[in-house]
Amino acid sequence: MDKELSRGAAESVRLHLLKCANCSAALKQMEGNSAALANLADEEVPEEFYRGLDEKLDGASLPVVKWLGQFLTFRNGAALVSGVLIGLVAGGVIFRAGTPGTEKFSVTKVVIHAGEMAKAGLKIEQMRRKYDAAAVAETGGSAQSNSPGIMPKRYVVVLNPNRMDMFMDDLKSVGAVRNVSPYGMKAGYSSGVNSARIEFELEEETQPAGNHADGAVPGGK
Amino acid sequence: MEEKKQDILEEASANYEKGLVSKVKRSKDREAFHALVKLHSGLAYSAAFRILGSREDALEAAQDAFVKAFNKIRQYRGEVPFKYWLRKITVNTSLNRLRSRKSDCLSNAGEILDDVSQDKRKLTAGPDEILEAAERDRQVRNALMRLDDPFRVIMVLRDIEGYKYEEIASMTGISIGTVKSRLSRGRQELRQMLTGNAPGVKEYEL
Repeated sequence: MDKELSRGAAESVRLHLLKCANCSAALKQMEGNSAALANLADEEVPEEFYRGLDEKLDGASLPVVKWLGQFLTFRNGAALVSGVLIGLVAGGVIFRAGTPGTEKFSVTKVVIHAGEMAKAGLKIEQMRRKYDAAAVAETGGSAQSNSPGIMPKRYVVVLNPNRMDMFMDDLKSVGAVRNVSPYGMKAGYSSGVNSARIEFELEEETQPAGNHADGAVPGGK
Repeated sequence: MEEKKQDILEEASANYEKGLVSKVKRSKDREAFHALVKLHSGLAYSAAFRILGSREDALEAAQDAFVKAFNKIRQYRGEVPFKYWLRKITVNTSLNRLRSRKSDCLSNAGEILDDVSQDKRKLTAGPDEILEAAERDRQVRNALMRLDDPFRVIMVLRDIEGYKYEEIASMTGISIGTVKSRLSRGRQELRQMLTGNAPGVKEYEL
């Protein structure tokens, strides 16, 4: 059945099957069963499968949060809070590098999980390097020394409009970004523009009352 | 003409899937991943259910397999279609779950077919019933799920999932010889169940 017999063995089985009706029929039956098994239709997937999967995928980000948690000492936490405050005041300065005449896009809020601001800061720093060469030149040392604990809340990124989709994908991968409105951001998009300026704000997701005493990321979609 | 249409459809479908995979790889795009889940949830859930023999366990195992796939998607090199990669993860996850349920479930198997209980063997109501292909498929499926774990698992991996003996031995941690003997015994047992252990052998249209 599985074509695993040697040529000699297969030949002797074949000769036996010619003479033995019972074995021949048994083989035919087993082959039929195997064929039926191979063609079995998929089982119906229960609806709770998808709900449970979403919860597990949300929960899968927990180890990262825990890993980050070890760096969140009181001192680091204070630095982070100060950084956010400085960022609010300085809003948009570090990354502001808009070239005059470039297309301006509507400001879109990027909501991230509470407690993930530091992670988002790191990722956005990587994105800035990837897309925003002008900002590096203009902001110089201040951007380079931008630590995860000191980061602005409002960002302006300059990029080639052709890279918009890639940028959106990267933006979605920032921390645990939940809400990016690509259509809102694309509203000002027009072909033929050499560079585009995108402004967006980070907004920390507020935790529901009495939730997550253990610091876990809010679950569900 | 139909064949060409089919080829075009398959290519479009493969490209669509590649696009989804690349989005997930690039930015862990959840929407793209959900689309992949929708495409392959049936495959994963079915494999898990047939290996584990329980819907609750299958649900958990298939979900875990997708979570692993999501977390390890950058390890997927695209050398085989995504569904084969996912299937391997699902099978391994299910086997681990089976082992955790009962550690020796794959290593120990009843060696004598005569131990098969009579109620397992008498699955068919009559010869006419099994002439209907759909009914026969249902019976084959039910018979499969009545096999003991060690036999069912090997049959699922070989006859449904199409793995080679060597791959099955590696996945289950048993020898190739044992894989072959369990496969043979599983097939015999299945046949006995489907024929009500009749001394002669009925023939029927496939």
